[in-house]
Formats: sequence, C-alpha cells, structure tokens
Amino acid sequence: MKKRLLCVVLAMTMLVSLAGCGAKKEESTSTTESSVDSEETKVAEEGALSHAEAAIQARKESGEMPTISMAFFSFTGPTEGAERVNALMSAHLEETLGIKLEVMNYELGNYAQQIQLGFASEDAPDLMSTSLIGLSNCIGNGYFYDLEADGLLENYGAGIIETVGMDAIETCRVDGTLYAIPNMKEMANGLGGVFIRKERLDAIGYDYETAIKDSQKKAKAEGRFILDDTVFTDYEGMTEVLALFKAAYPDKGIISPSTAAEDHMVPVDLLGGDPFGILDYETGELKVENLFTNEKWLEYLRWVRQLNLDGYISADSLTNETAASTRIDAFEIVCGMSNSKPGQAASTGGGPSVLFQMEDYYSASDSINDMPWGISSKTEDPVAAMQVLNALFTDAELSRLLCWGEEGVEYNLTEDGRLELVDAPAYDMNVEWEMPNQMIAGVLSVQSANLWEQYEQMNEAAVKSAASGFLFDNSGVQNEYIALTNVWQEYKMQLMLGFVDPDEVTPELVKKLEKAGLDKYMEEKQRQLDEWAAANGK
Amino acid sequence: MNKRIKRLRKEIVYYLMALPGLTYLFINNYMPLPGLVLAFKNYNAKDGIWRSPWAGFDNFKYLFMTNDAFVITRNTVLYNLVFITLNTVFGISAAILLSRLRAKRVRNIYQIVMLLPHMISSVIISYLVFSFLGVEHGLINSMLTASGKEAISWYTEKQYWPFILVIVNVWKSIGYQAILYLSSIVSIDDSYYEAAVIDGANSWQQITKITLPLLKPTIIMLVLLAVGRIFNSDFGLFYQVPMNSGALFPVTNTIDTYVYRGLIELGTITRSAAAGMYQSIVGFILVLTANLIVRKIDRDNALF
Amino acid sequence: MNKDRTIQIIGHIVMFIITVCILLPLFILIGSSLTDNLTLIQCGYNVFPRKFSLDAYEYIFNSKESIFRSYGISIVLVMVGTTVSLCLSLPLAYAISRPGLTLKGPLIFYVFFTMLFNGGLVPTYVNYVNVFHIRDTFLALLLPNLLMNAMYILLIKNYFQNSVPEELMEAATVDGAGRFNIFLRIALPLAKPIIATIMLFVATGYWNDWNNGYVYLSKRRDLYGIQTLLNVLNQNIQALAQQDFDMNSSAEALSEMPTVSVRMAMAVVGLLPILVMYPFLQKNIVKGITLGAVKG
Repeated sequence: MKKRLLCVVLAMTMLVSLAGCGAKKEESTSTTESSVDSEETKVAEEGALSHAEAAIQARKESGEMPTISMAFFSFTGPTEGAERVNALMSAHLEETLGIKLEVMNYELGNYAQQIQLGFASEDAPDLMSTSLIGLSNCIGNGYFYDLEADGLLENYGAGIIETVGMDAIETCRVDGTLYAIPNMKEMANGLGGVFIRKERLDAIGYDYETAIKDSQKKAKAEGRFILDDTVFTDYEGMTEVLALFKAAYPDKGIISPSTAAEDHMVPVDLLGGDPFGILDYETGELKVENLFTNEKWLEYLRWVRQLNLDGYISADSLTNETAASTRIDAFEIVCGMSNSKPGQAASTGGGPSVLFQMEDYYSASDSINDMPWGISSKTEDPVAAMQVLNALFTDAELSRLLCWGEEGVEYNLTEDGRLELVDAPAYDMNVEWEMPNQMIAGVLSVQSANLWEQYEQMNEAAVKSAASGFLFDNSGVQNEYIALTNVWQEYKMQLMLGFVDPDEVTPELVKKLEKAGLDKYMEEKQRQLDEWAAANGK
Repeated sequence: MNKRIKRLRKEIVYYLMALPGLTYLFINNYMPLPGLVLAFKNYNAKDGIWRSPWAGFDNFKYLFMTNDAFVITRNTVLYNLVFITLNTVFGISAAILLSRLRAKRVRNIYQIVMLLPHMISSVIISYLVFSFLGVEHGLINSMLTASGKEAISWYTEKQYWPFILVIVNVWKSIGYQAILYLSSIVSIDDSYYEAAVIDGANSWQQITKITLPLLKPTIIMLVLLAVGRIFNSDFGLFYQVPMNSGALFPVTNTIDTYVYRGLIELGTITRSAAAGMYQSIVGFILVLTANLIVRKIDRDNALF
Repeated sequence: MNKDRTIQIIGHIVMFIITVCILLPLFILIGSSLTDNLTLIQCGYNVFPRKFSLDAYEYIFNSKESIFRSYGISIVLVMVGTTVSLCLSLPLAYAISRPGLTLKGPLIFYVFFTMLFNGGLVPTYVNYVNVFHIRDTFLALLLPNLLMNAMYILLIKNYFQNSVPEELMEAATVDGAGRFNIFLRIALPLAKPIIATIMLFVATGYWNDWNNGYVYLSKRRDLYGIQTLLNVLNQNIQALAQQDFDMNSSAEALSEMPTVSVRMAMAVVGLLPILVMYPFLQKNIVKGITLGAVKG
C-alpha cells in the first residue's frame, strides 16, 4: 500500500465515467432529502439561505467557533514553517466558515500508530487521510462516519459533489454506506519504466533526442498516448541501452531493479495492493489469477535474472538500504526503475531524465479510492467537519496554503500564474498528492503548464481494470494474509533483484504459498469481486 | 489475634516502604492489564475496547496454523537457550576476571568499554555488521579476496547466521551481564578468600569453591527471569541485523519477526495482543515450573 | 606471587582482546561518520575516512530541532528518572527482602508478574492519557515503563538478602534503631555496588529511550529527548529510502541529505555524552560497582 501511494502524485479531473454506479447514486441522494437539522431548516426557510450558509451564520451569531482537526502524514512530519501556515489556514477558515482548524501532521512511520492511539484515547481527528492505512482498514477499525447521515454530504458538501463527481465518490461506498471522498489525483500510471539521467546518456554518446522524437512520431501514427521525454521500448531494446553503459563502466552496477515490480513493472492489477491474487488487464475478465505463475511476471523476472547474471546489478543490492536516487546521484549505479506519471521524467533520479518505458498506461482497480479522505466517527460536529472538507476540495486559497505554503515566503507567482518555489522553503510538505484537491493549488514553475491536461489524457488513454472501483477487504482472511506475507518476503527481494532463477524458485514458492493458504485467499478475493460485480451490474 | 496485630505493627514500616513502588507498578502495569482482553476481541474504534464484539480465539490462530509455526518457535527457543547459556558463562567469566585485576585505572576502562555496545541501537549494529559482511566492500570479504579466496555472499548463505547472531549477541550483552555479576562478586567478604589462601587454595579453587557458590542466588535468579522470556526475541537482532534478508528466514525468523512482518501493514492491535499474550503465558508457565524445581532442590534460592 | 602475576597477565590479555573486539566496530562507526557520504556509498565503511567530511554532523546540528535542547532534556530526564527510580525501587526491594515478612511471597510475585505481562501499547497509552493526562508533558518521558523494572527490583532484593549480613542489622535492632533507620544507615551503605549497577542501568534505559517521546509527545516536539530526536531523523531517512527504492516523489527530500554518514554520526552523537561523562561515571558508578574488588 505504501508504495502504491507514492506513485500517486498530482490531481486530475474526475470525469471518467464509471458504468454501473448511476442507479445507486440516485437512491442515495433521494433518501437524504427529508432529514435535516430542524433549527437550521428554520433559518434556511426564513432567509432563503442554503444549509451551509445557515450553519455558518448560526456559528457567527453564537460567537462560538468549533475546532476541526485534520490528520495526514508527511515524510518527515511538520517542517519549520508549519505553525505559521497552519495559523493562516485556521484564520482563513475562521473568516469564511467560522471554524478553527487544527492540523495533525505525523511522520510516515508514526501516522498509523498515532491515529490508532488517537481513536483509542478519545483524541481522534475530525478529518483524516486514509493514506498508509487504507480505506478498508479505516472502515474495519470503525474510524469513519456515515457521510450521508442527516444529508451531510448533500447539504454541506455540494462543492465536493461538483468537484469530485458522484461516480468517483461512489467507489468509497461499502455495504451501502458512504465512508469517504476520493482525493483529486491521477488515475493511471505508465508501467515498466527505466529512468536514465540525460547527462549519463550524453556521457556515453547516446542520442536520446532522436529516440524520443521517433517514439513520439510512432506513437502518434498508432494513435497511442505518450508522455514527454519518453522512449517506448521492450526488454530487448532496454538491455541494448544498458549494455552501452556496461561497456563504458564495466566496474559499476548499472541498474537498481524495482522492489515493487508487481506494482510498477508488470501489467497486472493487484486488486487492493497485495500480490496474492491479481487480475490480468489483457483478458479483461473478472477472474482472480495467481501472479506468481503469470507469464508476464515470469518474463519480467527472467529479464532481471539475466541482467544480474551479466553483472548489471550490484552484488550488495540485497542489503542495500540506500535510496536508489541517492545511489544514482552518487553514480554508484546508473539508473533505476519505476512506474511513471506526467512530469516525472523532469526530476526523477536527481535530474532531467529520459524515461524508457516497456509497458503501456494502466489504471488499477483502486486507482480512484486508494487514499480518500473521511470524517471521523468520533467527531463532535460532523457539519463543521463536512464544511471544512468541502472547503479543502473547493477553496483554492486554502488548498494552496496546505500544499505549498504562504505566498511571498514559500513561493512566488510567475507571470503565467505558476508557483515558483523558493530554495529550501520553510513549509515543505512534499505530499500535495495526498491532499484532497491539489489541483486547485496550482502548477509549479518546473512543471509544464498543461500538466492537468496531460493527466487527463493519460487517464483516458490508460487501459482500465475490469474491476475499477472494487475495494478488497481482507479482514476475513487475515490469518492467511500474515502467512502469505511471510512466505513472500522470504523470496521477494531475491527474485526481484535477480539473485535466483525464477523458473527454479517459482514451483517451490508457489507450493509454500499454497500451503500458507493462497487458494483460500484468492477465493475470497474472487467471492468479493463477484459480489461487487453483481451489485454494480458488471 | 494479639500476635497478629503485633506482627503487623512490626511489619507495617516495611509495607509503607514498599507502597510507593507497588503503587507505580499498579499504575504502570496492572491498570492497563484489562487491555489483554483485546486478544479476544474484534476491535473497532467506534465501540472501543470493551464494547467491541468478541472474537474467541480467532486472533491466536495465525500463530499456529502456518507451516512456519514450528520453525519460528524452534528458532526462538533454541537461540534463547544458547544466549542464556553463553551470557551466563561469559558474563560470569568476564566478571571474575575483572574482579581479579589489580590495575584499577585499566580495569575501569575495560568496564566502560564493555558497556558501550549496550547503548547502541540495533539499526546501527546492523550497519556495523554490514561493514564486516558486505559483499563488495565488507572487511571480511576484502580479507578473503586479498588472500586469494572467494568472496562470500553473507546475506544469502544461511548456514553462517546462527554463529553470526550468537557472536553479535555476545558482543552486545557481555558487558551488561558482566556488570550484573560483578556487583555480586565484589560484595563477597574478603575474609572468605583470606581464609582460603591460608588453607593453600589456588585461584581456581577460590573461584570454584567460594565465588561461584556465593554467586548461585544471582545466577539462578537471572536464569529464571531469562526463562520467562524464552518465547520472546530481541527484534532488532533478528530483523535489523540480518537486514531482513529473505534467504536467511529459515534461521532468523522468530515469533516476533514473524508477527511483525505479518502485521506491519494490517496494523491490527488484537493480533499483536494475542501474540504477546501467548509469549507471556508460555514464559509464565515455564518460570513457574522452573521455580518449582529450584524450590525442590534448593528452597532458599527459589524466586518465590 | 608468581602465580598471581600470570593471572594478571592473562586477565589483561583477555580483557584487552575483548576491548579491541568491542572498539573496532565503534571506530568504524566514528570513521564512517566522518566520511563523505558519496564515498561511503561507493566504497563502503572504513575505520579511516577515505574522504574526510563533516557534512553529517553539520546536518544534524543544523536540523530544525535544536539538538542542544534535546541533550538538555535527556540529561534532566536521566537525573530525575534515576533518582526517582532508586527512591522507589530500593525501599520496595528492601521490604520484600526481609526474612519472615508475612506477605513476602505474594509481594515478590506481584513484582515478578509485571515482568511477563503487560497490557500492551494501546491500553497503556489510554491509561496514561485518559486517566493521568500526561500526554505532551515531561511526565510522559518519565513515567511510562522506565521508572521501575521488575528485574532490577529482584536483583536488589537478592542483594539485600544475600550480601548484606543479617547479623549487622539485628545488632542494630538490639541497639534500638528504627527499622527505617536501619535501612538508611546500614543496609543502603552496604548495598553500594548494586545501587551503582542499577543506577547505571536505569540511567542507560532513560538515555537510550526514544519510544516514550515518540508515542506520547504528539504535539510538543520541543520536549523530545536526544534519542527521540535522532530516531525520528533516522526513521525519516529510512522511510524515505524505502519509498524511494522505486524513485518516486520523495527524491527531493532525500537528495540534500547525507543519508548514510548521518546515521553513523547520529549514533556517535548519542554516545558522545557517555564518553564526556566518563570521569564522572568512573568516580561515582564504576568505583561503586568495584568497591572492595581485588580479591585473593
């Protein structure tokens, strides 16, 4: 889950239609019509104010401002400027909504635990991101409030519905209850990417400009979508490029293979993040398959194995805990692998890079709902919480503060309205993609002005999972999950880094996985998938 | 009746002395104890610990239903047995050696140095081990290749790891153990040794006839306490030091690392509570049994 | 006398070897912390820096949180914690070491039981936060788990029982000294070695602990002790590195950080005060432990 979440970087429009959600949507909006808070109804009738406006007015008249807390994680916790920016956000909300805001920002390693402790000790946030924890876990742990109780979403979250769209929102409905709102982000990724810095290619005299142009031309001719700075290739073509480096630097490790290959390198849909039971995009069927015997998977592993045998992968890789980008920067290795999204080639691997891509663009089943935002079941003021959430999705000023900080301090606006970050900003979150709507926060000056259009194009061009919107809940098979995880971890790194022969190891691995309950786990996935398909008219 | 009151009056000062400490233990250890019920619950935050539905023994199942159950239990217990033995033997030996050295200044330096590893976190220890065992730049492989031998891929060759882990453990805990025993050794009255010297006992005889017998209560207690934690393992040693290398699992996977790997993404507190309870109960039974045996043999030295 | 010389020589040789075995990795630690980060990545760890650099220390001492304040908090915590701990543990251990005490067995069991069973993180947290409201206070560093340790109590109890002569105390009783006075005037001075040992362990426990700060100080990061601060830094680096294995968006945050050498430097920074305090340790604690050593 953690790895997935990082693939997600920026926002996009949620216009992609999800067939089958329509019927349910009407149901949910009609049932909420009648039940609204009586006092506010009165105000609403008298002044012809909307529920939301009435709530704001009531707050301002009473002079009592509720405090709403929002929780999310960032890699390193609050940075120096956090207090100042948080105060600005709170002041902004006090003015617009009559609500004070408290930000609870925890570092990556502490987030899930602090949320857990917060809920156990009655100090839970009012709003929270599901990133790192997962929507299923949040629902299973009882963290979330029913967003449609008393017409909450309809009356106070009109902006959310308009921005996100009901189709996308419906993917967060579980057993009839709506628990969360998907954040605005991309819904697809290019798979099988190798990023190589342009300066390294220059150094060995590789003409990437031509290669990129050829690829663009070819893609255009085929009507295929392609990102900037991308060269479409395959395993063989990739090896040829890497061989040039091997010849130039015989003593170096050339490439750092992906350690999340099942997610980033091979075109399969993981159906909820774990590799135990997958969908093959190509078949388009709702049939759960075994990843470990999948031919594409094995083919990828064989390629990596050959790279290892030929000395492309450093012998210390298995125990190397240094980040790939750091190693690339230090020129200990030449390049690394990742999935891709628009704008990524501009900075990945420490500088402008060329993306060699071996697979197409794919949209997984949980691309929409893998890190939505929810309102806490312990909130004392769900109306205020919903209004803040609504503001986070619609209020550009608020979102910009949250994502990038204060104008004139953290960033300056360029002439065309993009954000030019200062060197070492004091408020430095790096998690804009986790926020409800970073799309309204603007585009950075280093990014291309049409970034959002690129996202949109990629989303549309991507091959979509047949199970798009399906959410797997493993709470019934957690015992199997634990056993499977332990077996998989035993082989994972050696396989992914090519230290063992996949054809030799796979039978042994599969046998152990089966003993650990792989069949039962996959059956459960299939069962939930069938149920989901039936309910959504697939 | 009178007698009892008299006795109570005599003892009351002791109970008052014990009270503050007992109160702290009550607050820190006994008040959260009802939380153990989590092991039998299907916890969700909405209902809280008490109102969450019961789960019976479901949360324990994963500890037993896997094929790894035998391996992780075997590893945990065997390593602990070796550690207990070596820690005791080396700890006592180092303590006796230290106690016999005359040069005070040097002896003090030894003591401080021996304690240093105890103050270093497992993550750092894992890097130090890696500086020796790294495939490309590790000290040992550098020496091997320099002497014309083939380099070893340490982190995929599981046969070496039982020894490596034992060595790291000794490195880490020898100073701590030595100092534990040292405090008991130095309390032994000089007159015992003086008498022995007059009787013509050599150093070895002094150790076996005086030091060790007088250390017995401390040894028995420390071993008993260690037995209580025989189903627990030093997570850092088994997870960080082998760098979580999959090829080594057959000899490095213990109950704690198994639980950690399985639960890190699930984050369910009920299952970790169940694992902790399982370890505690086994340890508890073992200590009670061991204590019973000690009591039969040597009543004075039993724990209770 | 000749024999004694042999023992002395052998003893020093053995201890010297042990010391070297312990120190060699520590020298690697120090050497690596003084090596340029890129060199470290390319050439591995070494005792002698191949390319000398103070970047790692600069990074630590320039980081957003003040490392000196954290040092200060840790030092205060160690002093307060160790004092309170001894004030609670010693009387308790003494009481349960008294022969013939009516509730001796049950009380020992009461203490021992806490060694094996505890409520777990969440119930302990709920107890301390909801009942005692220690979150985001200094008490959060002091109270949870570290203040008393069943093993230490039992060790002290054993010491009182076995190494402090009962006759001395009986004699004092005959002289009419109160029971508490006997504890203060006779038992405690005789227990110096064990007190020094336990003091050392409790102090080490407080010094090394990072978990209490990590768990209980969610808003008051300015109360972080040195180990919490270093551990959070270290975890962040590790988390970033793991995420970054597939070269994603955390790259920016990482690129400026001397990731490898900084961890080594952090370990050194954590150990430093111990080396600085060495004269003090030697005078008060080590001496206490070896009080009356040199036998035979």
